[in-house]
Order: sequence, then C-alpha cells, then structure tokens
Amino acid sequence: MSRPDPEALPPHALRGESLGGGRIGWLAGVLTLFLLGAVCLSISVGPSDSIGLREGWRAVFAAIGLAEPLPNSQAWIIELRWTRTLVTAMVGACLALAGGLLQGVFRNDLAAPSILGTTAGASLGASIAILAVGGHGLSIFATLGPPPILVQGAAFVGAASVTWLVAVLGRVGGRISVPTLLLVGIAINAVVGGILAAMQSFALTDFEVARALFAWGFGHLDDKGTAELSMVGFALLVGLVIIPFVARELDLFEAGEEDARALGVHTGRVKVLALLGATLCAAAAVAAVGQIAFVGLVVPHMLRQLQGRSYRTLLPLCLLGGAVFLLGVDAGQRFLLGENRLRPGVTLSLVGGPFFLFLLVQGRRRLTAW
Amino acid sequence: MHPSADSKTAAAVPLQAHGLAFAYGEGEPVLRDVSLELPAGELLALFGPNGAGKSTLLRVLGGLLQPSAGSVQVNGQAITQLSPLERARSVARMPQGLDVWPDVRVADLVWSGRYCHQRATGWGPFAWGAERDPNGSAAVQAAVAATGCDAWWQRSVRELSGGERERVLLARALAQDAPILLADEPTRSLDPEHQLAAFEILREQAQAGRAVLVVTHDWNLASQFADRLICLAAGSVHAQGDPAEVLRPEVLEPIFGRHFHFGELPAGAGPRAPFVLPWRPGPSQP
Repeated sequence: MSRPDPEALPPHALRGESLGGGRIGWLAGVLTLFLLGAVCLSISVGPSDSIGLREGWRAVFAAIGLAEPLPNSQAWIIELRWTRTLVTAMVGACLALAGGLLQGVFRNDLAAPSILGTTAGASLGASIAILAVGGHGLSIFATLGPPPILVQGAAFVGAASVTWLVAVLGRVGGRISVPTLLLVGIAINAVVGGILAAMQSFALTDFEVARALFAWGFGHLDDKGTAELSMVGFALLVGLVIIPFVARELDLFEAGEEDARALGVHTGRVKVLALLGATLCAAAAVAAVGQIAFVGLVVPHMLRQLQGRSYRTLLPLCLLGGAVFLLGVDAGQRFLLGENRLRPGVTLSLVGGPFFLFLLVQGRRRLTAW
Repeated sequence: MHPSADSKTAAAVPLQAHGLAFAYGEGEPVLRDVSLELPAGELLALFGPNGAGKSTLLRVLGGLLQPSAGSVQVNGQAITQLSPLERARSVARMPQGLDVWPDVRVADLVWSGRYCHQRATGWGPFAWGAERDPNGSAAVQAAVAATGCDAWWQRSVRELSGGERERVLLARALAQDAPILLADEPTRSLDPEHQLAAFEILREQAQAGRAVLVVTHDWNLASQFADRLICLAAGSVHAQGDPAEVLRPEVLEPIFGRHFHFGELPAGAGPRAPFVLPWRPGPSQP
C-alpha cells in the first residue's frame, strides 16, 4: 500500500460525503417550480370555467388582508379548489415519503405501503365502516357522526393495526426480520383480500352499499374538507420530523443491518421510527382519499434515477416529488379528459402496474438474492 | 481487590471476555467457555480451523451478538450497557466483506466509519455532515494514507476488486478511530505485498496504544507481527501464548493433521519467529 504524503491528498478527499452537491439544489429548485406550476394548474382547472388562476390567488391574498375578498359564490368554489389542491399535494407527499421510508427499512426498492398490507388494512377498515353505516352493523354505528369521518377514521385504524400486526408477526427473536416481514405482509394481504371479497359479496344485495364500497376502492380527490386536510397534514408533519432521525441511518442500512449496528446505528429504533412514520403517512393518505397505488413506488424510484441513492436527500425530495406527481397526474387528466376523467386511483393503477412489472423484470437478479 | 487497582487493570486491558458461550438458536454451541484479554498496545492473532467459531467470537466481542453465558467488558464496563454509539466509539470492527455492497463511492464508505463520532458531537439529528466532527478529517486522512484508498476515492465500491474492497473496509475501521480494533480476516483477498502492508498497519495501530485482534489463517504473518496467538478449536481456546509457544507440532497437529513443516524464520524477522509450511504428503510417505 502506497504511503502518499497526507498533505498531498486532493482537497476533495477530505470534504466528507458529497450528496451530489449542486445537482440536489437544482433538482429541489426545479421540483419547487413544478410544484408551483402544478398548484396553479390545479387551482385554475375546474367545472366553472369563469373562475381561474386570478381568482385563486386573489382568494389567498384576501385571506391575509391584501386584496378585496371575492364575491361569495366564487369564494366558495375557490375554497373547495384550494382544499382539493392542498389535500392532493399532501397525499402525494405522504405516499411518496411512506414508500421511501419503507424502501430504506427493507433495503429494497420494490417495497411500498401496499406490500406491507397498510393499504389493504385501510380498505378493510373503510369497508367495515361503510357496511356499518349502510345498516349492516349494530344500529349504534349508523348514528355515529357524519359518515365520511367514520369511514376515514376506520381506514386509519385498519391501516395502523394491520401494519402493527405484520410488524409483530414479523419479529423473530425480538428483532424485526425483513424477509419474514415481507412474507407476513403478503399473507396478510391475501387474508384481507379474502375478507374484503366476502364483504363485497354479502353487500351485493344492497345496491347503495355495494356502490359505496366499490367507489371507495377507486380513490377520489373531490369533496375534501378540513377533516382530511388536518389528518393528512398531521401525518406529513410527523413524517417530516422523523426524516432527520432516520435518513443517515437508512444510508448505513444499505450494507446490511449488522454492519450498521457495528458502526453505531441503533437499528431497532431506526426501524420502529421509520415504520411508524411510513404507516402514519400511508394510512392518513389512504384514509383521506382512498386507494391510490404506486405513488410510493414510482416517485422514490424516479428520484433515485435523478439524484442518487442517499436517503438524506431522497426523503426530503420525496415530499416535493410526490406532491408534484399526484397534482400533475390529477390536473393533467382533468385538463385532457375534462369531466369524464378517470378516478386518480384507476389512472395510477393503469400507469403504475406496468411500471411495477418493469421494475420487477429489470431487478430479477436482485430479487433472487432475497 | 482494591477498587483503584481494579480500574487500573481495566484501563490497561480495554477488552476482557469471561466464560463466553454462544449458540445460534437451539443449535450446537458455537462457543464454549471462551475467556480472553486484549491489553492495550497488543496485537493478538486468532486462528483455528473452519467453523471453530472465530467470526462468531468476533461478533460477540464486538457486541453484535449476545452471549448465552459470560460477559464482555469494554474498559471495565459491560458491553451490553453501552449504547450503540458508545460501543462503536470503543470498538471498531472490520467485517469479512459486507452482506450487500452498496452503490456508494469509496469516500462515502470510509466516511461512514465516522458516523458514531458525527452523531455524538453534533446536536442530535441535525449532525449530518463532517463539519460536526472536528477530528474526522484527520482520522480519515490517516486511514486513507495508510491503506492507499485515495487511488479510487471517487469510484463506486462496486467497481473495485475483492482486495481493493478489503482495503476500503480496513480504511473505514481505521477511520472509526476506536481504542479496540477487531479485524476479521483482513488479508483474505490481498496479494502478498498488501498482506504484509495490512499487518504492518495493524502493528502500527497496536504500537499507537490500541488493542488489536486479528482473525487470520496465515500463521506466518501472525508469527512475525503478533504479540500473542490464540488457537480456537471447536468453540474453545485450544492454546494461547507467544508465536513460538503456539506454532509447535504438539499444538497444531492434533487440530489440523500432520501435514506441516516447521522451521524458523531468518534472524531479523522478530524474536524467534517460527514458520509453518503446509505440505502435501506423497504416496510413499508412511
């Protein structure tokens, strides 16, 4: 081994890890611009053609006292659009962040909330609630609060409890074992799928309930209110706080858990924190808008292609990228298809399914190494 | 014993293990009643046949596996009582390769040895960079200079050969800058020149006051560089002592068979450094 004079080492040798430097800044800047653009597009497109971008921003400035308030009818429409836009952006951010966190914990780019069973659990909770409200449960459920909140609360509880169950069953000797966790996730997905099918089959006799169950499965972004906004916002905040506690550690996970432990990583704590954040974000997103698949898979993957593998930059960029992606898909198809659009859950399944298949085929060699 | 005398022993012997036993799950015990001491400033070489439990012992000593009996003391404190960060600041481990070679640059992998210092000196989660670790640059610089990793500093570790990767892992362990260094077969894929260089580095680490334990199959390098040898067989200590005591037919042949030629290296290689040459018995041999 040569012994170079330490003074003669190139200066870059000692600058520590580079996270991609200027490229990250550019990417963040471009994504922010895209986000602004997507927000404007989302505000200005809607059923009432007379109301556009100008009214949208005027409403914002009016809210902080810098402009004349809009006439009541317009203000009401604009408020709906802003709520919808904010919910869409935050749901996208939540789903992408959940995907990024799960991929870090599982050390696999194919992990997503749907693999853990999080989304299936949310569907189960929501379906139970819809059945209960629809008169198929104890009469007390039918009297509980406005139905949407009940459905969303139940989805949240279902997602969190299925994820918790998977994590508990995936524990081997006091530690969460990743292969076991994945297999348990697959099994739980199958079980939940079976229960859901049984429930739908029972509900077929009642047209309204069957329709509600069916529609919920597609996911939709319309008719959102403060309940959805605050739920998703809270989850996003928790996810944001968790990022700096796990990002560096997830980078060290890449070489194996034992190695991370040898380097000083508290692996148990990191896994619990990351799984908690991912579950909360995914559950809140699914509870607020229903099943929207593949955002958590596609967005982190595209960001990795653009900026490298470090979770320290990937996770924050997931927030921007997820918001841009879902807003873009939603606004884009409203623009192209008008009011006869597909529901976003369907669009993403149409686009995301083949993409998932492409990743699987591309990564076959890595899969055999599991 | 007087308490102050006790702490003095602990300071001079940073790593102590007593009566270690270990089994994977319900299986056969891999370690049975292993005790050893690793004093500061000493290079200890651990060898033994395949499956003797060397790597497992290294994992237990590094606090990565819980022994089913016995205890490991780091500077007089049970290793189980240390937080992962404290443990990593006390014990650096060079593993036998990695489970998965991540697609990161050599620079990032070597700097990851500083994780335990960066997290420790910065404020909690926001210690993201090298600037939170004032000694980091010096430690990395020394590690890079010793191992010659600067040649591929900006390349992905996936592009490196086995021997180059081994040198990167050694650099990372050196960058960790811990008083105890455990190296698991650091010379496995190295060419002869770099094997010598790697042992030279370990020797220097010991001379700088660190406690160094190296697992190796190379008795002849161990004989020239190590202060003490330990032979592990079937999970327990078969023999230990200085090279001349351990590298004898009476010690090795019951474990490894009768296919060795024993000799002594020329003067200058060290005080009475024996060498052992495995040889193939011909058909005419009795």
